Amino acid sequence: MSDEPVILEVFGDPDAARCSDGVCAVPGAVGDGTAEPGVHPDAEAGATEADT
Amino acid sequence: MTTPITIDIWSDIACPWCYIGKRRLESALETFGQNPGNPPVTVTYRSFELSPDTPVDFAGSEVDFLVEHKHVSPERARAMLDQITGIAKTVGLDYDVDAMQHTNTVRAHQVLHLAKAQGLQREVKERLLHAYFVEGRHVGRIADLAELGAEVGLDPAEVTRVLDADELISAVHDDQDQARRLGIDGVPFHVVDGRYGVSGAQSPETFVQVLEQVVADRAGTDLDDFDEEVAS
Repeated sequence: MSDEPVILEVFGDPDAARCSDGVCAVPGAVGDGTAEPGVHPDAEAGATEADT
Repeated sequence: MTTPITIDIWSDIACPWCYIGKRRLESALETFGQNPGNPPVTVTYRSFELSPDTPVDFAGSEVDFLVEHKHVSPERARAMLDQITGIAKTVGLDYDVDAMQHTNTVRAHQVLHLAKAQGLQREVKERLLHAYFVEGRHVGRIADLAELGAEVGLDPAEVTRVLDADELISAVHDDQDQARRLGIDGVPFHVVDGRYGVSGAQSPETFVQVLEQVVADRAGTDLDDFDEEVAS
């Protein structure tokens, strides 16, 4: 990839099946498409869906 | 000769989803390659440090790291790791969470850049991920990285020299700067042919569909059904 890419489209739930800031999304967490209400990987840290 | 499709993958070593995503992508590439009319695919790994503040010799387990550095409760940290370990099993990876030695990965990324220059990046990436997640090997110390690199064809003296001098640190930073410009804030993140992004360890089917989209673009056709089904 010699030139700077220009991403036209992103596939996949941006919050699912990935790790960010050292914490990894798991099934059942908000944002991975399989969420149960009120469940979030950072729940104990006080995070909300809006924090991600 | 057909121009290869490029896949640039921003990822880290200490990233459970990155290894799972690697296996899913490999499955996709096998499927895609079964059609002799499809172009070849070249994969390049780019650097992304999830926790650059981690010490090389972190004294504690993976759970301890999440508790101390990410403020997750021990119960939640264990549950997260158990869930991801279960998902790893579905792609044939036997993660040993209790054996993992959490560490700073900036040196490992430099080794990957050295390997890239020698055409050995794929081998080194696999070796480092397997060492970290399955074998519980340390992937942050120079001596350990020299040994692991040597196992897949790198010169251990050269690895030691490069790491002692932090010779490839700018290459690591360049990748991370580019990630920021692209808005990448989590990994794995795949850029396919410089135009399509795939965030996360998506299914092999998703990767195949994106590759087929590139083929269709090149042929000047449009896969309307694909757009409706996948782009969400």
